[in-house]
Amino acid sequence: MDEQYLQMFFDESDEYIQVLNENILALEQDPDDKDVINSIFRAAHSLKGMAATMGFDRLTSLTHKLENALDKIRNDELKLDTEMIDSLFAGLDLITSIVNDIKDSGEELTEVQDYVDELNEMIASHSGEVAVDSVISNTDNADVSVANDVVLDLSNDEKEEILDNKGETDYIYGVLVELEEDSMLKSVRAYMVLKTAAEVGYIVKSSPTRDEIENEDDDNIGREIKFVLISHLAAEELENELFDIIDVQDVKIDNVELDFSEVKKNKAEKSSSSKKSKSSSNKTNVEVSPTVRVDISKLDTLMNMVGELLINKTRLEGLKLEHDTYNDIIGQLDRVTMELHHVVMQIRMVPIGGIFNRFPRMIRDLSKELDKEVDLIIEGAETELDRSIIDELADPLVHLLRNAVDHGIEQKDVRKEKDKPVEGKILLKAYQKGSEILIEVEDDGKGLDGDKLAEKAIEKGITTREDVENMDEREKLHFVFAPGFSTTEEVSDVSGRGVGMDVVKSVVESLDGQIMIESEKDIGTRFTISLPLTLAITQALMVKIDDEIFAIPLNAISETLTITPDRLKQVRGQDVIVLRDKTIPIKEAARQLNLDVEYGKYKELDEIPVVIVKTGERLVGLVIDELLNQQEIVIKSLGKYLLNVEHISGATIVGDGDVALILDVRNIA
Amino acid sequence: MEAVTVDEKENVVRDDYLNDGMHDNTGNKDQFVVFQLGSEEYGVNISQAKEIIKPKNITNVPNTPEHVLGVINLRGQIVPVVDMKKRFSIELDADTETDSSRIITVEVNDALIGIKVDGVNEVVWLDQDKLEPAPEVAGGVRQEYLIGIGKIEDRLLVLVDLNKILFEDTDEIKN
Repeated sequence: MDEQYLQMFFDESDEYIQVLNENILALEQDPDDKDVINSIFRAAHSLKGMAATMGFDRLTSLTHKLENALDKIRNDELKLDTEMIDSLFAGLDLITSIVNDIKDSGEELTEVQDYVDELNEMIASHSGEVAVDSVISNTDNADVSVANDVVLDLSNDEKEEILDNKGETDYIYGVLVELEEDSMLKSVRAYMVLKTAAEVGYIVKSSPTRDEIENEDDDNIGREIKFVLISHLAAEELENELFDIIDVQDVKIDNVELDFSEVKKNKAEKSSSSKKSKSSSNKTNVEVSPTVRVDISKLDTLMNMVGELLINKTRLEGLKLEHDTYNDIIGQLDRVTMELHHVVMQIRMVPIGGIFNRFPRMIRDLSKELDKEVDLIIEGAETELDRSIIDELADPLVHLLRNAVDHGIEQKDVRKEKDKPVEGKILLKAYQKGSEILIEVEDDGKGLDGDKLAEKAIEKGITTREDVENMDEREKLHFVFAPGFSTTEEVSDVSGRGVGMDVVKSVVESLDGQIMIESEKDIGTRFTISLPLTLAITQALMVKIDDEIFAIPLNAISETLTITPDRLKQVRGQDVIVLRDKTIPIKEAARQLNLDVEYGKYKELDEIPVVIVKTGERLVGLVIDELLNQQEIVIKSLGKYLLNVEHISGATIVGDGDVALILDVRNIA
Repeated sequence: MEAVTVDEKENVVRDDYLNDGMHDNTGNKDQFVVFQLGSEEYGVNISQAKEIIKPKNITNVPNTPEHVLGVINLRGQIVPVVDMKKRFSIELDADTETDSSRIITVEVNDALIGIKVDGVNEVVWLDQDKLEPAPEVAGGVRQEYLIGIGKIEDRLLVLVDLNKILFEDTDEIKN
């Protein structure tokens, strides 16, 4: 199969699955929202179409079945309760796993028959419970007052629709048009009736609907056409208009009086609440936005080229030619490269909502499973981050959120005892602060107890009692990041197998970020992840170590200084300096890197260049040979062959086209 | 057998020879890039070779195995370079770089890697029936790192399995 179409299929099905996920969730909140049901229906329909085109039979039959169920829900023929929603989610999960099958193996492996049977049963058991009178019946009972027949069925949404479309002087009519019994072209006549009505007013609803008229056989179109019309015409004028249509036998028009007070109130509430939910949860738009799909590797290539351009521009500047136009050209080039660079960076930035939007579903399932009530509030989904960072971030966030639900939020009865609202709150928030992006995961659960954590850490042999005695609360909290540390007594399915938090920490650190914890007993816990805006370009200090140039990212540097040998002190065989009352260990960079040189020679120098770097919470003085300059560097990976080189996080290309390595100072000890 | 010499000025091997109508579609012939290490001749399948470049400034990368020479800048991309002689533990003239020394960039396991060799001799077609199973040791390399032996008249080509040589644990390749 054509690779290109397959890729398109994956991209689009992922999008549709996301739309379905979000909208089914929204539907659970507000089962009457027709817009949501329609979005779901459309997404399922498109998915079906794509699956059929690509020849994926199981996916086609599954989505077809779902589409049927949705159609019934849309027409109020199916009762929508938690069971039904669960069933829709189950179907969605099957779709997801089939799509994954195809991604992995090119074949549909997941069985769907069981689910289809289940769904059939579900449809059978849920239909018919809906009050029949909410569906406009097609009986030809012409004696009943038209207005009562049609108008009684108006839902609040429809009343709202009337309110939205009704001008000051407009009338609202309930109209019944009866066609000649022997009319040959009932559907055409019925169509004409609605068309005429639409020309002189606004049709709120009709029976049969326009779609039915267009799609059904004549036999299925009754003699009667009923509709609710908003029009500026007087009843008589309307009657005349309708009688002009061929085959119209009778026209009955009733004025409709509606009580809008409730609708108006509802509407006011709705708009304010929808505004509120927008500002507080900032739900990403569920509609699929039109975009151009670009292979991420093409963006990487583009970024590479811009990097090259930058480097060559720097080289050109270095020439310092004495020529009038030279400076002109350099200036121009500088402006263009900077702009180009900026634009490419912008293209690589994507809203973090892309990963946030899968969490509401996850939290819903999880809290159900654990019998807890949890409200997930998402803020700042529009915050943008470099694509490469976002991809890495999903797993750590999943873990933090799962932990918050599982370990943070208490059981309902416990929360009651503590006088907390039964519904727990988890706040997931992203925002930019300076050149950093901060992501917070905050719960209002039971909080972490530093002393308990410390006890546990001692028990597990992670630390010793003496060490703990000197620790403050913050340091104790950080035990949750220690490898092999788990906080709940019993291991649950949901989280906590003792792996996880240490992985979260290492992923964040591999992205050049940091993670912090704050916690208060019975108030809650907050994890804050801070990340650089982009990984691709950063400010760095260039230094020389053993005749090679290395780059140290500025965000890892506390300060640089030159010391005289007499400031070196010895503590337990370790060189240290005292800087503003702080004792800082001194390490030789060449030795850390296992370079093939004689160590310790720096002690003979008159002036020792030292870079004070931040390694986690500590400061370490790194002895290097020479401080060069500070510059912007384009960060490049060493590639797949050289993964995880100790103390090296990547490479960059310097002015003369050579490669300089980027020092990773985090684990220097 | 047809032999094609590598044009020293045109570094790109692959495109030249794939587009000149000499490409064999029957599947029982394969093209190999022949390179020299010490006195032995070795071959890698041309489908893995990307281009041949003259040695350029290599930046040493600390904390890597000895046979990893470092990294080079290849048009903006960072490419690691492996010294094949060190990888094969061929001692003689281990560190000498001559005018004929080359770096062949190869794509193995989705990674672009440069292998440094003493020289690139030619690109040859080899019939499947000219391939012989690998002996226990050939050219100082043990059987499991070899694809086979190619015979060109009186010359023997040691055809190496780059995948294993580059990605498998640094256990002794040599006998």
